Amino acid sequence: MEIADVTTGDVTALLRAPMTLVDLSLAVRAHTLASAATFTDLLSPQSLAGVDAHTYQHDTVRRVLRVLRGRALLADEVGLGKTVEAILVLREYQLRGMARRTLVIAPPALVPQWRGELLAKAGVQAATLDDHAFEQDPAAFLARDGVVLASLAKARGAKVAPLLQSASWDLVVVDEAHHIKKQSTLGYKLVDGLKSRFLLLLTATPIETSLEELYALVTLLRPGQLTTASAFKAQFVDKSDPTSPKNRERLRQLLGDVMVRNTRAACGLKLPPRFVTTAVVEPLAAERALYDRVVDLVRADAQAARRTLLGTTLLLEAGSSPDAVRATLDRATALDGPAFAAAREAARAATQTKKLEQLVALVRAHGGHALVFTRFRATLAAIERAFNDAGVRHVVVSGAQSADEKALAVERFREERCALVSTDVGAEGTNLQHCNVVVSFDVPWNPMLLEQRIGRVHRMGQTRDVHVYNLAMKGSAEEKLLDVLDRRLHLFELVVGEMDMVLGNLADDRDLEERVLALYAASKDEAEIDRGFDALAAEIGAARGTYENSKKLDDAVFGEDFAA
Amino acid sequence: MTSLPALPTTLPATLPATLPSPVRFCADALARDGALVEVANAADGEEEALAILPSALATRLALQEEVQVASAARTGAVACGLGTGLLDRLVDERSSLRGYVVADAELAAPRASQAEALAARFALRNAVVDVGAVRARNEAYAFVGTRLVVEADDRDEAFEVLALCASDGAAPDSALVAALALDTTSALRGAHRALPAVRAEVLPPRLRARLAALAGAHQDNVARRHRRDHERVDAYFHELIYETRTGRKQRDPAAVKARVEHLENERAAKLAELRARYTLRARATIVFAAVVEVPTIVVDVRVRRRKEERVLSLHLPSAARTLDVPACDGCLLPAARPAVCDDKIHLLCERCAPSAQGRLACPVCGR
Ligand SMILES: [Zn+2]
Ligand SMILES: [Zn+2]
Repeated sequence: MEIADVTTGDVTALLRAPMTLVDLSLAVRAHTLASAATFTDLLSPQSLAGVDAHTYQHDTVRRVLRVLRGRALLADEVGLGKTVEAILVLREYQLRGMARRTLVIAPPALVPQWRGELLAKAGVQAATLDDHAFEQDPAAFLARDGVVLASLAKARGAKVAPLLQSASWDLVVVDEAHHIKKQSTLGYKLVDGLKSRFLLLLTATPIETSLEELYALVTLLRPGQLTTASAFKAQFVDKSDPTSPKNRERLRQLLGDVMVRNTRAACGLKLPPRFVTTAVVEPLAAERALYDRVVDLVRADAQAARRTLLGTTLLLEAGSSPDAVRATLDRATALDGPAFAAAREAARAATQTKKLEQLVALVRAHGGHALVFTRFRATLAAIERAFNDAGVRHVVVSGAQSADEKALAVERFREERCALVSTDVGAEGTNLQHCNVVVSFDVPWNPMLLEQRIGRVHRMGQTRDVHVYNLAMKGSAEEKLLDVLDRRLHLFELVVGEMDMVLGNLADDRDLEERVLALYAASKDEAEIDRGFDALAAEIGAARGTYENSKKLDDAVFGEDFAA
Repeated sequence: MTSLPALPTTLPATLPATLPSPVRFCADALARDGALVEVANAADGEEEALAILPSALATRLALQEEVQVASAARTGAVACGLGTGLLDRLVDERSSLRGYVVADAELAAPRASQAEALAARFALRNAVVDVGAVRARNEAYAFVGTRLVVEADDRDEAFEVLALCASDGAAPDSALVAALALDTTSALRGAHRALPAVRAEVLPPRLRARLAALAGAHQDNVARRHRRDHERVDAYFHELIYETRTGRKQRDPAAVKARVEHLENERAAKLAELRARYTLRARATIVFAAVVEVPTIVVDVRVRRRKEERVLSLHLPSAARTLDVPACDGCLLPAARPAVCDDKIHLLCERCAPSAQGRLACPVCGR
C-alpha cells in the first residue's frame, strides 16, 4: 500500500486565499457530488447524448465493471451496438476518475466513425495519430490526458508501436479485434505490449475459422486463462469437428471470466421482416441517350486520366435524373471537349424520367405514406414537381435546411402521414419508424448507404413489415449492381450490421463506388461491364460465405451462454 | 460499427440519502457566476430551474442564454443529473477552487451545567482528575474539507470534513459539524477578522489514519485479485518455459535458451505490470478550511499523577453531546481513553500508551 504524504504545507497554502460563504457552500456540495460517483450504479447512461441504451447494454457495462473488472471481450452479435457499450464503459471509467488516458485502436476505415461517435455521444474530443501535434512531439502528445484514437495500420508500425507501448494507459479499446487474433501478427504484438489497467476487445466474430483464434484474444486479456496454446488445443479442440469444442462446460466457465456475447435472440431484438424489391424502369429514349453520353464522357475522361470524382458524380446523377446531370454540367462551365458537348446536348434533350411516374404509383399504392430518398438536390426538386403535379402530399428534408425546419417537416410527415422526400444527409438521426415504406429513387453504389436508408425505418420500434423499393433505370450501373446484390446474392436479407461484416471481408479494400466507376471507365463495351459485375458478384459472394461460416462457428460454440 | 436502434430505458440510481440536489447546485453555481435563476418544483415533483445567463457564461458552458435545467432528461431542458456534462463541468469548476472562510456560528450556546457534568466523568486511565473553573467563551474550530482517494484496479473516493479545535487540535463531536450545515452555510455568518492560528500539525497524521482506514477496506480484495492473477500468469509462463524445454519443435539448444530467456523477460514484465495495477495508492487532498467561532463552555480540569500536575482545558461547543476528544501528545490523533506520562503529564492515547504495559514509556519524553 502506498499512502501519499500529506503535509501541513497543504493547509498553509490553502489559508492564503479567502473565499465567500457561497463559494464554501458550492465547494462542499461539489465535492460531495463528485465523490458520490463511487456509490452510484451507472453514471454513463445520463452522460451519453442521443443514446437510449438497451437494458442488455447496461447489464453488459455493469458486468464489465464489476465482474470482469475492465478486461473483457465484447463479442455481441453484429448490430447490437458493441461500440455504444465500449463508449459507456469508457465514460463510466472517466466519470469515476479511472480512465484519464485512453487509447482506442480501430481499422483505418472506422477511425472517422469512432471520432464522430465519441464526440456526438460522449462529448469526447479524441486526438488521432494523424494530428499535427503527434508528428511534432509524439512523447508529449501521448503523455496528455484524454482519448487517443489510432488506426491499427498506423499503430502497429515499427515507428509508432514502441511509442504507444512506452506510454501508460488506463484503458485500451481494440475495435474489430479479430484482426489481432493471430499471435504472430504485429497487431497482436502491439496490443500484447501495451501497458493498461483495462482492456476491451470488440469483435462480433471471435472465431472465424477455428477455436484457436479465441485463444489469442483471451490470452491478451488474461494470460494463462486458457493455459498454453498447446494445452488449450489438447484440452478443448476436437480435430474432427472444429465447431464443437471438447470439455464444453469447462470452456464455458473459463470464457465467462472474460467474455460477454449478447445475441439478438436473447435480447428480444427481432425485427419484423423486410421485403426488398428492385423496380427496373424502362427509360425514355432521351434518358437512355443521356446515360450513354455520360458513360462516353467517363471513358473519355479516363483515357485522359482526369476527373474521376466528376465522372462518379455524373454517372450517379445519370442514374438518378436528367435534372441532376444538367445541374452539374451547368455548373461545370469551364469544361469542354466533344464528349462534354454531346453530354450537354443530351441533357438538354432529356427533360423527363420515367422513374417519376413509377415513384408516384408506388407512393400512391402505399396510401401516400412513404419515405423517399435521393442523393441529389436537383432530383429532389424534380420529385417535388412531380408530386405537386400528381397531387401527392409531401414534405421535404434536405441538408440545406435548418434543424428547426427539418424537425417541423419530420413532425408533419408523422402527423399527416404524407410522403417525405429526403436527401441522405437530410434525414440523418431522425426516428421515422411510424412509416414502413422506403423508396430509393436513386441507388447508391455502396450498399451500406442503402442499408442506412432502410435502417431509418427498419429498426427497433418498427412493428410492421417493411417494404423497400429500389428504383433503377434499365441498363444502368444501378440495375447491374442491384442484380448482383439483391437478385443474385440476397444481400438485403442480412440483418443490421452484417452487410458491414461482409463488405469488410472483401479482399479489395477500395470503396465499391470507386470500383464501379473504374469498371465503366476501363471497359470498352456492355459485355465487358457485365463481366466486371460478374466478378464482383463472385467476390462478394465469397465474402458473404466467409462471414456466414464464421457466424455459424461462433453460434455453435457460444450460443447464448455469454449474455450479460 | 453501426448506430443503435433506440429504446427508452431509465436506470434507477442508488444514491446516499444526503446527496445535494444537482438542480439546486447547478442553479447556485450559475447564479454565483452572474446568472438570474429561479428554482421551481415541476408538476412531477422533479426540481427544475430557469436561468438567464450572461452571454460570456453561456458561451463558456456551451448553453443557450435562457436555459431550463432539470434533474431528469426531458425535451426543452438541459439535464443536470449525475453523469451529465453540465453537472460534471460545474462540479469540476467548483471543486477545483481552494480557499478558506472565517465565520461565526449562529448556534445556541451550550449549557455550562452539561459541560460540568461531562467533565466530571472525564477519566484518565492512570491519574486523578479534579474539575476546576468553568467559563463560557467563543472558541475557534477549523473544519477542513478533504478528498480521499484510494485506487488500484478499482477506485474508492470519499469527501470528509475533519473538525478540530483550532488552538489545541481536540476533535469535537460530529454533531457540531452536522449543526453547522456547511453545505448550506445556513448556520454561518461571515466574519471580518484575521485568521486565528490553527494547530495544523494534527492534520497529516489524522488524514493518514483516514486513508489507511479507507484503503484497509479494499486491501484484502485487491491483494486477493493480485494473488489470483499473479499465480495464473506465473503458472502460464512456467508452463510455456517447460514446453519450450521439453518440446519436440526446437532441438537447437541455443534457440531453446534464447526462447526461454525471452519468456522469462516477458514473465517479469507481465508480473511487474500486475504489481503496478494492484498497488493500492491512497492520497488525501485538503480542499478548503472554514475557521468558525463557536459558543463553547470551557472546563479546566486538574490532572495529578504522583508529584506532577497539569491543567487541561476541555471544551463543549454548541450542539455537541460530548466533550471534544483531546489530541494525543504522542501521535496527535484524538485520544479517546487517555493516560498520562509520569514526568511531564503528556496526554497519551491507547496506541501510544497501551493499558497492559507496566511502566509507561512516554514517546514524547523519549524523543
Ligand atoms: Zn497517540
Ligand atoms: Zn511524557
